Amino acid sequence: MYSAILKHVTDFYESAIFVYCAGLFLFYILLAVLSLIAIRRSLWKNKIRGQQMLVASPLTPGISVIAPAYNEGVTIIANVRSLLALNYPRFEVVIVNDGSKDDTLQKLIDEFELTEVNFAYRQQIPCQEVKRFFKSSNPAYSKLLVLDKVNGKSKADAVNAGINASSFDYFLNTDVDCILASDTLLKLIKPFMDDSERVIATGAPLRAANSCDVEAGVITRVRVPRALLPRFQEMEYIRSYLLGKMGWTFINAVPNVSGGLGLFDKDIVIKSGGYDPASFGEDMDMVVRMCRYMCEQDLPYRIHYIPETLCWTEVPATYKVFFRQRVRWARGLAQIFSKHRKVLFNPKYKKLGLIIFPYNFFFELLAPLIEFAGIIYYIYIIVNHLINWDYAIILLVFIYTFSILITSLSMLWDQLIFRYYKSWKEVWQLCILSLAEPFVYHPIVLFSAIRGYFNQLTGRKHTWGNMQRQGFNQSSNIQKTI
Amino acid sequence: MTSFRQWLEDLIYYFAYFPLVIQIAIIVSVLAVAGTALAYIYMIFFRWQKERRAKKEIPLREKGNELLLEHIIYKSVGDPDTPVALPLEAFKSLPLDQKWAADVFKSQLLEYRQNFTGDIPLLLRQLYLDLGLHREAAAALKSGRRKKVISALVELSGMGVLLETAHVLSLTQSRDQYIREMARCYWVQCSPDAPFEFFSHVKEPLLAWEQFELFRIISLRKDIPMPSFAQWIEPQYHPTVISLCLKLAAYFQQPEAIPAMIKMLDTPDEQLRALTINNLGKLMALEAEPILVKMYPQQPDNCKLEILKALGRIGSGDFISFLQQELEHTEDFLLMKHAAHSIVAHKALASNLVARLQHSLTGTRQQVLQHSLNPLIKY
Repeated sequence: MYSAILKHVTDFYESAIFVYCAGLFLFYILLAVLSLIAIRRSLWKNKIRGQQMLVASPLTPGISVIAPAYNEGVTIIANVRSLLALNYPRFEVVIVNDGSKDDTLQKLIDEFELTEVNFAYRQQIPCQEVKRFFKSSNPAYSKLLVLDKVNGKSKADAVNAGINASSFDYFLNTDVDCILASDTLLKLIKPFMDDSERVIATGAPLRAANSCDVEAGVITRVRVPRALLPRFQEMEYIRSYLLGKMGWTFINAVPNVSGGLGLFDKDIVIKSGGYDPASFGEDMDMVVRMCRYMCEQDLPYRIHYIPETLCWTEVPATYKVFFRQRVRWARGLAQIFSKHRKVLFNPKYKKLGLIIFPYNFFFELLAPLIEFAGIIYYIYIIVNHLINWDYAIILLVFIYTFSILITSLSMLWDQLIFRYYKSWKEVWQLCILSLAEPFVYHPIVLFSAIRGYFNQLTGRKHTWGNMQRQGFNQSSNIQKTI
Repeated sequence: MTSFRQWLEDLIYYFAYFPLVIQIAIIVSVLAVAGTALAYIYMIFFRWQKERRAKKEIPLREKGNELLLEHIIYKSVGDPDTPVALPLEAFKSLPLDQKWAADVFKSQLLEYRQNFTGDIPLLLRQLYLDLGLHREAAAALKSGRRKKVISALVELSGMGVLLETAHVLSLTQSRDQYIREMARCYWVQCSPDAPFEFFSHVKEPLLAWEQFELFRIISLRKDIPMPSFAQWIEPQYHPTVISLCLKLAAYFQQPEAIPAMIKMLDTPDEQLRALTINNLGKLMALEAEPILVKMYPQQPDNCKLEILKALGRIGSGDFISFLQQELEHTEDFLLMKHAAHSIVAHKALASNLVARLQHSLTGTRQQVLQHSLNPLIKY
């Protein structure tokens, strides 16, 4: 009797898991097709519409580039110079010194001839107190505004302060240590100008800058990261941006605009309440709240991703830091579903409620739990000699080959857009990694997600550790919270 | 190895007897392996093809650059008064009968045309026509294939060559957004006598991008006298046409557009009204000042903001007390800030008032005034 029930339960479980996998794979294939169409469409638009016209036009909208800095003393000067050198006719750079304990602010004051000014500041969205404002007395740096604020223990708080002080209708949210392509603003503003519906945010892919050659804050040679962990992350970023976000762009269901690089409609961000300093996934939370606001006001909107990589960032190079980052991301996702639970399956929120949230709930939030349960189940049936090895191997091969296919397709899409890597060897180094990913990289991601959910459930306090920055083929070591 | 082969053979033999789930898993796995292999083969082929094309194009580009520099650029820059004769024979040494070579050379001509001013773009245009490079685009215009038509419009527009006038004019009303947009830009760029004719017939909105492009093209056209854009600042035209013409009237400083703009202040479209006020300010429309001040209390915030900005730009000094009142009494931060900016913009006319306000204002209002007075702060 007991064994019959157990058999029914296990049969049901196995079938359910198979249906779940098949559903996920179908989604991936659909995303791959949609992303290819979106990429081709974006490239075609670029071909027929030059962006240089924006450089000379008096109609070009202004953009505030907001970059929070915390203990960035080692590289702050080169990074700010790089931001000031962006190719765009009308922009300001707002550096928010988020209570740094090192000499970040002093270096800025000395290098850019900053002087304290009486700045009319209005706090439209909550953040910690801004103590001082600085402008440069040198006209060459007239675009620069520096805020010195009390540390808010999160990037969200610093960005909110930057938004409050910014002058233009659009703002770019980036990290001060990110390296941006010189045409970043021109490329990101294009979708705002080119849609009949209101565009509330645009984003572009990020890549690992770990082994790239950098000179004066500019990438001079893109390289595949030498170390294994950053290389896995590079592969994951390509897959996530080119296959995921571009696919979602096609159906106007982008779930998230990365905190490393995103151009936003300031008005909508403010009306949505700004970034939430208590959120562990503040970038996704912000986009969800913006979408919610638009749906609640019954306003049509779009969020775009463009396929060109415009931002290079140093990704974690040690397992400890990487694990901590992924725990925070997973916790952020769980937090978002807890905070916005009313959105799930709610037709009032249109695509957000009926596509983005259900997909993320089943295939992002639940995936690690289902996978973890699957591992336990496998161990159980192996220990109890209940396993049919032939079938088990076939099912494992099914998952393994499909995961390699998806990564290979994303690599192919990447090659179709730009050949960032000069040599075949570099492309091959990334491709070959997809064979090892399920055994080496994926388990870390899985267990960090489980840990993140556990921390969220138990309300465990998140410790903000230091990330030892390696520098971009330079000898500097920078402290950065993550 | 033998056992693996045996396992595979068993798999094939027993395939029909497997449960459906396993059958699906096997089929998907085979497809995934095949798909992965295809992806890598295509990747190799694509990279090889790109490299091959690049190798083939480099000498042609070099030769094209050499010829263009030697026969057109150096001659035109070196001796601008002497007319440059086009040595067609030299250019015919390029393999322009081959499509790929013609495409490369056309892209070079377009690039040069974009980067030079004066007579050089005209010479390049003439060269393009004399070499017969326009024929393919001319045929593509009537091909009916969307992407071909758009590419042809982009190319001909870039080269400043107007062909198939009647057909292009009909394309400005195309149902396809991109064809319509490109045809309009092409028409405005190249039409010698009636480039703005289609403004009166626009039924679909001009996107921001199209407005940017049209604005750029119109501002660069020096070969025709600019019409009075006031004729399209009328409620019967499409709001986006009115919006573009407001900007153009202000850019070309056409004061004759002021009465039409003042009439537009009654429009129920808030955004259009705000834009009208903005451009009245840019035209320094003195006669609009009392009207703007009178309508101020009934306006939404965005229009109020534009009125304050406009008063600062016009800067007659007649309504400086109104600005002072706003600075002293409004509770809206942005209105306060723009009232202060506009007072400061009055410069000498406001110097006494500014000195008084510096003593009398306190708190945020004082801070806002200091902000506006600081030359280091632009916005």
